[in-house]
Amino acid sequence: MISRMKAAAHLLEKLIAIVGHKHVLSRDEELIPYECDGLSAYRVKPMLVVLPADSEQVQAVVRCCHQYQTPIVARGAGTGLSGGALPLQNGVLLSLARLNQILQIDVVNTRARVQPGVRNLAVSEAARPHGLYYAPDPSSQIACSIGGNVAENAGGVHCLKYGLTVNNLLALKVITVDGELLELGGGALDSAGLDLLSLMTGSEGMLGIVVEITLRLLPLPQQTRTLMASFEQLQQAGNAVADIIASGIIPAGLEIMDRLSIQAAEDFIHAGYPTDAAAILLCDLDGTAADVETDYRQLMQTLQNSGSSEIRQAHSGEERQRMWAGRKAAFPAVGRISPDYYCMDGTIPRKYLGEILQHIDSLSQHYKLRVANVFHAGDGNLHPLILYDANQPGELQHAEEFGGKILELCVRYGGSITGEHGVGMEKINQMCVQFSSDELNCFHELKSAFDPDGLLNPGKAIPTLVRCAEFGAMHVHNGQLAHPELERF
Amino acid sequence: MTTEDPASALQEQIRYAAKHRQSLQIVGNHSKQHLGRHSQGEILSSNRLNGIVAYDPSELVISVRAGTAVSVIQETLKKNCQTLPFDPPCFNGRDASIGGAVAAGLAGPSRPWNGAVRDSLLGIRLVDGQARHMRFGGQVMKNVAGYDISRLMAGAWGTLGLLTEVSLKLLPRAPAELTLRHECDATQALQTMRKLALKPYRQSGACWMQGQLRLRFSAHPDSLQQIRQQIGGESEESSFWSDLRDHKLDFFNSREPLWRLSVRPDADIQQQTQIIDWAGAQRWLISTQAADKLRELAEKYSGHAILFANGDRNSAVFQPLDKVSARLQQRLKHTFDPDGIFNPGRMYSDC
Ligand SMILES: Cc1cc2nc3c(=O)[nH]c(=O)nc-3n(C[C@H](O)[C@H](O)[C@H](O)COP(=O)(O)OP(=O)(O)OC[C@H]3O[C@@H](n4cnc5c(N)ncnc54)[C@H](O)[C@@H]3O)c2cc1C
Repeated sequence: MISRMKAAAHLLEKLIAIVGHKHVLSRDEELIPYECDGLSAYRVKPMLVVLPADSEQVQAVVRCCHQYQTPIVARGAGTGLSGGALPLQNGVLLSLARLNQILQIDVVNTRARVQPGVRNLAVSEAARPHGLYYAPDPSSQIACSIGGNVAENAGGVHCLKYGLTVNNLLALKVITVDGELLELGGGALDSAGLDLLSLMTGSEGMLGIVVEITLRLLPLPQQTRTLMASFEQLQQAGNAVADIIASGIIPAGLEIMDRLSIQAAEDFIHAGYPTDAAAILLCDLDGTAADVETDYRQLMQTLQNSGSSEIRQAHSGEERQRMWAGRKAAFPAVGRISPDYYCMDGTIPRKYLGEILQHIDSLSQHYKLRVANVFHAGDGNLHPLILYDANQPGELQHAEEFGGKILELCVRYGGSITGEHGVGMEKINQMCVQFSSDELNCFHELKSAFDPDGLLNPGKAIPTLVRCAEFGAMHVHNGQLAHPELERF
Repeated sequence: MTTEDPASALQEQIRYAAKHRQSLQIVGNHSKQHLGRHSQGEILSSNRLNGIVAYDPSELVISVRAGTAVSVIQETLKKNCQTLPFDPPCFNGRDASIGGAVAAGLAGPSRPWNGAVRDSLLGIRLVDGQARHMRFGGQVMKNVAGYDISRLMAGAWGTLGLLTEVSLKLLPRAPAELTLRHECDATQALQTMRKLALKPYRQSGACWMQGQLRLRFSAHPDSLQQIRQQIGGESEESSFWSDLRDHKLDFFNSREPLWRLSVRPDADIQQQTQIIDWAGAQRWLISTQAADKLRELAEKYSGHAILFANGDRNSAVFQPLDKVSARLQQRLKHTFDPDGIFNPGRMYSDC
């Protein structure tokens, strides 16, 4: 015990020597803001928070922690929704917030080189004067960091057409657990050897610390047209999405909001949404003027055949922004109508959208908790927001159980428990449903190849087999239920 | 799993090979035997893993067994006005298997706009060196549960295990295509390519060879009409793009070493016999220069060089890795293939 305290004191001293007194936080009141990420139901006070200034300091900090065998949890902006940046009581919380420089906008080769603490939106803002932008646009883009985006493989409204973070990366610089600099990718479109760039993306801070990122930029579209279609039934909106994709066009964005989220957003933002509709479909078309016009004709035909009760087109840039503002502010808007909400992130094949939304509705009645649905429909990525009140005893547990059921449903329909928010601490039990024990073992083996002592964000994302046994989860194989004859709820 | 699963026989073969530490050579349709490093071992054939497992056009996803021929897949997709975004090459007039196409990670001329193999790869089933048949990723567009082991398999040349099934994201086939040809030198061609990269055109090819720059666009005829007015040049209808993809152009008809340089698009590389493809990011050279010289050249433009075909297939075909990467790759190889049975030496002599 004494030697452990001695070691901790030594570590503290060394860390201060690396980053300076001001950038090592150890007093309770300094640590509290770092207790949780965007999933505030989970809180742990870290032993220390360290804020290095550059990649050399990150490297030195990691080396030092490695020497003292102290676990590290990386943190970007702390907007994650799965508890990925949840600290460890005996660990160092490594904040990348001070690495916030855009190092280069290379216009000729259409790319940006940035530090991990740069905010997502800041990249597009810096690129815009050159006629370029960074496509992945999480709704949290004013706050979330590019490093966090890489660690979660973040998506956004425009990912349907332009891909997720992984599809828009060219290179990464990563500090490995033993403090070595690992360079992945480069200036070309591919690199020699195994594709570690993809593997690192979405690895939730468990394989290395990302200290520099090269992003692909795209030319700003000449024109963007936004449409809003209203539906009297949520299921119709779901089916319209499958019809649009089947018709051969890929909209730049294709999002659904249901009645509860429409009403919440309308009260909050006054976007001009039809509050009597059961659902709206927001759709962006972009490209050259001629591309947009031909896609538009096709889209209108599909929407008219899909039973939409009203189709509205934004006639000015301002109106366009207003239509999207409601969607982008949907989470906080829902936050205004309920003391707490719990955001789920399952994905399913698009064709089951209508069906699964009905299932969620019956679950909502069963648990007596309201649900607002606002999601990336084009990608089949659901975001049911379960409304609850943490001050009511038992409601949080109820909401979590309800959420777990939704995720298991997604797996049964051949989907995944998380499309973009990551597993983190939150969905670790549901991993037992999605993966077999061989697969989970393989994940653990892969983790040890990078981090043999388990010092990087330990305990997250991949459950131990013991945990799965305790959770009592049954691996759903290939979307097939063990007892399909049994009623589901 | 039921006994009729054709993968179970292969699983058995792998289990046996691991136990006796026998090397296995994973083979699909033999269309890429001339690529990568020379590797020896008993044949592990994906031939019997044949057929489409699931395809619903409205999902823009297809799941196929690894031995299925690329042409069979393309035929099916064509009927539904869809296509494989990475447009994989088929060499030597042979039909590639989709497993081989994914393992080689090679993409056609539309790569800069439509993405690489890894960008389309949504999920896989894999038998690893412990004969575990596992599924990673899935059939959905988005999935961040667990590490992205699927994409790790794209371009791994079968060194980590046998792919038995892959799920791929598809692209609607554009209603029309336009190729415009300009006469110019390499430097001018590169300038035009880079300028076009700043325009939101639906482009699908940009290649220069022998004084001719060819630009391809895939869109609605109305859009193509406008592009033609704005860019000018001779319009051309020919098999140029598929000949380029499949290395059927005369240029590739040589016994000399064929090098592929993957570089920063604006790289100013002046070489006698070269094709500039991928809007500058991919260069094909026929060259007898020393490997080190070409590697240095590629590195200067933050890229890498591969001895793609011909030359010494026992030499270092792929660009050697730095120490940190090499160590990690060896550890990964050991994770998936602890006995070192899959395609030994195909990528690097030591893994
Ligand atoms: C209102 C709201 C809306 C959202 N909308 C979206 C959306 O549309 N799409 C979407 O994908 N997400 C969305 N999110 C979730 C979240 O914003 C993303 O997951 C984002 O990528 C997290 O970035 P961050 O910088 O906040 O990371 P953090 O929360 O700080 O960390 C997230 C994970 O990344 C790791 N990490 C952070 N930085 C690094 C690094 N440099 N190296 C290694 N590991 C690192 C952490 O350890 C942790 O595991 C939303 C969140 C909120 C609150």
